[in-house]
Amino acid sequence: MANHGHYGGGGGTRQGIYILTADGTFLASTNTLDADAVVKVMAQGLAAWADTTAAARKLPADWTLPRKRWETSCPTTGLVLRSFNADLGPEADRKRLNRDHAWFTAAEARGWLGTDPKVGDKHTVSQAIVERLARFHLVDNVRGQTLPFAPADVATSSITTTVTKRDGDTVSFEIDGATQGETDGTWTLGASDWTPSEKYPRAVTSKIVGHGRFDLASGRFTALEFVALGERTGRTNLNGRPKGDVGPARIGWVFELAPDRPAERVAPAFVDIYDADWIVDPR
Amino acid sequence: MTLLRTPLGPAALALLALALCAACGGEATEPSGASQESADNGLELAKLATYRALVLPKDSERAWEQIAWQISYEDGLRASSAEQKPLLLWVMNGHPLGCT
Repeated sequence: MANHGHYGGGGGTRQGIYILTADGTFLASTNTLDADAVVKVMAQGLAAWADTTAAARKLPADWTLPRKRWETSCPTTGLVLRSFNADLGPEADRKRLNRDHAWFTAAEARGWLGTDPKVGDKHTVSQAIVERLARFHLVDNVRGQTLPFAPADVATSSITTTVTKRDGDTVSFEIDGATQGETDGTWTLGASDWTPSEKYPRAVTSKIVGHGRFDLASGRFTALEFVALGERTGRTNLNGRPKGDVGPARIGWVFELAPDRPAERVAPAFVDIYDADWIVDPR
Repeated sequence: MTLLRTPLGPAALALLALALCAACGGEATEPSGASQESADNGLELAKLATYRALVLPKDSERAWEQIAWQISYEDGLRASSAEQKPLLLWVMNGHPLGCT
């Protein structure tokens, strides 16, 4: 289908927006960030749709596609956070931001609080949670793909929760913390698609504040949001930072409960090297 | 990413977006039982909304989220076939909901 599109059938990328029928009949396509141009292509697609047959609008009865998808590991009974990150400060390019999802099983997510939380309790959030956030999510990918940190790079990071209210099984709490990720660029995470060809020294620091509400009976969060505000230094090969933009510069993240809908089950950017043995590699 | 597109034109798309927006549900924004005191690290929970606003895109930049995107080609094709509507397929390298 894509070979009929804007890039033709030669080698190279097939990125873009395509309008098609259920049987794979090509109707229209483009590759642009211009919304008006996309609307024109959608109109072209609709016009072409009017000329398609009923058969073209149906999937063949025996059609199947192997279900090899990372999102099949999405911990829907655990904790799924969505995140946003952006450059801060007066010089920030506000047109660029990125988003991601952070996954935790129910057992992992329980590490936000102690066993029997009481008002005033302070709890050091589990190392698994802190490491995952600091290594894979509190990174500088505002403008493009970057590299994760290794466990040793974030070893001084810490997050604390303080219980502010207990009403039966409902526990309300506040979050504060600080993370530090720093590397001289030495890659210690083994061979993968992420393995860089050279060293990229970099650092990310952040301070965290937020709050949440957890239901002990169901083991589910009914509220959770926190921000991380900090500083970035350095760059990586594909994170879109030109050599003149290596900081230090301000950067920020927002984490919140992901709404329950398909688009929020997109896997974390680093899912293929996540520190989670419950993720099934679909490849 | 895939999007079911109605054959009725832009007006129908707007209606679809409105219906989905109502179904999206709210998200937590108010501290629950929070003391509003400063966190140990200097950030203030009472300023959480201000901090969020520094990072989050504007509502006008998030209009696309009101569409019920499917995240697999298979799901999109099946929905297209079932609902007899053309499919909009959005193909990008990198993280599909990010800017990469």
